[in-house]
Amino acid sequence: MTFSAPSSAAPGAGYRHELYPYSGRDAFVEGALGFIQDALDGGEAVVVAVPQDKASLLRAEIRDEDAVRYVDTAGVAHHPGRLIAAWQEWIQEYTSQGRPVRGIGESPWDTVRTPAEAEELRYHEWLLNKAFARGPAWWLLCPYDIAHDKAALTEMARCHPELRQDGCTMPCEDYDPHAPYRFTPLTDPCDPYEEFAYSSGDLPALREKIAACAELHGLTGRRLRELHLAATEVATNSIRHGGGHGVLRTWNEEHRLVCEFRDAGYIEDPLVGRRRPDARQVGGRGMWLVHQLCDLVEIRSAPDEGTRIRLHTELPE
Amino acid sequence: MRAPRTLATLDEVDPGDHVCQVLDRTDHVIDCSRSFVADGALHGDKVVIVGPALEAGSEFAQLVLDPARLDGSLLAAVRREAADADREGFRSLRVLHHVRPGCRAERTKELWRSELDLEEFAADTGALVVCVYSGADWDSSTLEQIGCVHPHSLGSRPKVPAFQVYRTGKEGWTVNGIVDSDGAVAFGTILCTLLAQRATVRLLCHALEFLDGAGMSALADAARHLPDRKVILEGTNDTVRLAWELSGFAIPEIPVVMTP
Repeated sequence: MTFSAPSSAAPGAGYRHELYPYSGRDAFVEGALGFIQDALDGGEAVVVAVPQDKASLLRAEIRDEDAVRYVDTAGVAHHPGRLIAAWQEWIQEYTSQGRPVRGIGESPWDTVRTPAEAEELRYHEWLLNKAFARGPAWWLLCPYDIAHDKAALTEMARCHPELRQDGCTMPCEDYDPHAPYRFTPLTDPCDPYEEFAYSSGDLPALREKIAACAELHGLTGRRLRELHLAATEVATNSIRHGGGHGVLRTWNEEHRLVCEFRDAGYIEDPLVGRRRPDARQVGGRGMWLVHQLCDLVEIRSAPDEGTRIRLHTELPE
Repeated sequence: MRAPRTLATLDEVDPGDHVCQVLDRTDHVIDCSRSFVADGALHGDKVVIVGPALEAGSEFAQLVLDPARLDGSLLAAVRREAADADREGFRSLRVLHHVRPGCRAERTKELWRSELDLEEFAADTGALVVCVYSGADWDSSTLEQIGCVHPHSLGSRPKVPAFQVYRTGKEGWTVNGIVDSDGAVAFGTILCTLLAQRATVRLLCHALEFLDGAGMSALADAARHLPDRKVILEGTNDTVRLAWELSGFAIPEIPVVMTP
């Protein structure tokens, strides 16, 4: 399963995306502080979006000020589909003034909840190259603790055009701007799973099916309404753009309700739903809402295989 | 308080009802009209039949309004008759509207206007209005959409629409049911029709079960298609309000206010 390759940003121009492998807190602080200090020396602003414990380490050295902004990542850190819009918003304050800006972004790898979330976080790193290929120009450093998962370092390297080592930036040899993203295959549905074929006129029945599964697992009220809305948007896309029909599967996996939608359509844009829609645009809000309302969204689409979309909703304790 | 319901027979209608009756091919317009007139006499109501001059055998109908020959709007005519009925000592006015299809898009627009006018008229005056559609003359999707602006339905196979918009009191319009991509076009048309006549439309959404992205887009488009208009939605749940914000519609250029 692949998506088309993003355009690459040449070092020194446009969007720069740099992986910083480190080992231990001291190395994290040293690398991040060096990056921030370089930015400040050059009159650039810095947005820091890292887990709270890491932010505290940096704050002890460089406090919040006009040029250094520590952002709250709590609402997006575990939701990879929301991160690109978050970065667009975080840097917009500076880019709209024409001010050069850098970012430090580290996902909460230590507290990732599922392998699917980890995969989507890595995929997000790859998508960043595409999302900012046409601007604005900014420079994102992604610290990655190799103590966490050294094996995944190669996969991370495939998502970053540049690599930071010993305070120097160099091209990342594992990154191929023309290569598609190599997805880990989706897991099989957990048994027992429910299946429901839908087409035009079946949206109410589809919601009933989901409600029945959700309520079995204690998912009700606001969270169920949000899932209903997200599921309706995906199923509507199947009916309108995915061959007129689809198949819903639901199951419980790692204390999450998973709703999978399969249809014959092909989603050409890998960034679908990851950019905030403009109020004036006609349509194009469905997948945006899906990313905002679900805990995790997995999209796999290929012209010859059709589309599979999985919506994950955490179940109540 | 008016509440939507499905009726098995004409005997169950009450003053203030606005009923959509879809006739089967086997139902006869004259039979339907005759029993309507008889029921009116039984209850002391003044009866008006709206439609083209009925064919032979319709001598029982005392007052027939042909929309094509009206001097002014249908609404003005039935309002006049309602005032006369009151003066003449009738309990209320009972209107049987034989709705005929037109072929122009303009006619469809007029149909929505007429139905919403009659809905408001029935709710505000307590008149009973039955709109009769012949299943043979109308396509099923139009009938389904038109059902959305009738709180009451009657017929051998009455189908409750996914959502309904109907007058509640003097101030607002209740929206109930499910507005999703299947009903978004009708929902938008209803809102545009209402907004063409008034600066503010108040929608009571306490019984609105579900509003999807297509329904929200229809709401946003309707709210901004004419200047100086406002739509107020009361009784929205937190999911509707959240999705509205997330969709980017919560901006001054889109004059919609949502409250719990």
